[in-house]
Amino acid sequence: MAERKRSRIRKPPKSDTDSNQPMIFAIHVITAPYSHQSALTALRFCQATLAAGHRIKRVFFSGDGVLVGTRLAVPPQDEADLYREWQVLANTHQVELVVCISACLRRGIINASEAERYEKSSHNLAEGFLLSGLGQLVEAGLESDRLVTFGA
Amino acid sequence: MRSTLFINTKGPHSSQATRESLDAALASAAFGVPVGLLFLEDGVFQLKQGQQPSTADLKRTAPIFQSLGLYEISDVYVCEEDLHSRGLCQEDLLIDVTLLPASQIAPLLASYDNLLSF
Repeated sequence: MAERKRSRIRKPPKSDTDSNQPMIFAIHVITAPYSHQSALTALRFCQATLAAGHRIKRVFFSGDGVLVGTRLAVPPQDEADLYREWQVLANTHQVELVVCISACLRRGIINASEAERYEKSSHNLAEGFLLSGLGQLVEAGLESDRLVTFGA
Repeated sequence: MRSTLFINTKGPHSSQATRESLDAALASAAFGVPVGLLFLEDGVFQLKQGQQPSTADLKRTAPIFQSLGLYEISDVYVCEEDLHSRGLCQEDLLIDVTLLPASQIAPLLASYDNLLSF
């Protein structure tokens, strides 16, 4: 590693030292809702980030994380409703919620056009979620000050 | 261009982690992102030669590792202690890697702009 890598070390941006400076975050969630604390922590982190005046470029769900995109889940009324809370966050703050298409197809999360393409009898992607590819994660990482993964 | 280090800590066939990490790494490389791969803990088993995942109806990941060069991904790091403590050495691995002692991992992480863990 030595020489070439070291040259990549950059001076921290000004925002690192000035906590008042808003930053742009990209969020990556890889765990299923309710299976891991990290799926809920990701949501709470996003809410806190926005409340602190920062911006969220995109939330990218991959692996089991895409299961949050179903509109058929009915969590018990006395528990946090992760599905609805993500949608509220997306609506209120115009946060882009993207679910990884290959992870979705494996796990049975599809929208109307995929249902038609694969000749499935119905579709279940919730409103507010977009099906797209890994490029969206790469792009979000490139265009944000911080990329934070939940569930690794 | 911001660089990304992919950190792999899970064994090869018990989850989709290996494939998803590789997919994301290849997608990043296709965008021209400088990509590095780091294997820690049980993640070192992902690189072991002679795996036969088809015996468990699983896809082989070896061809993807062997084609990393086509995507100009050559910075592959393995934690030396994690490798040796699992009874493996460099000769057991599928591809050429840089062995790093645990003390060198933190500086490696610091040299990348983005870290993605799988």
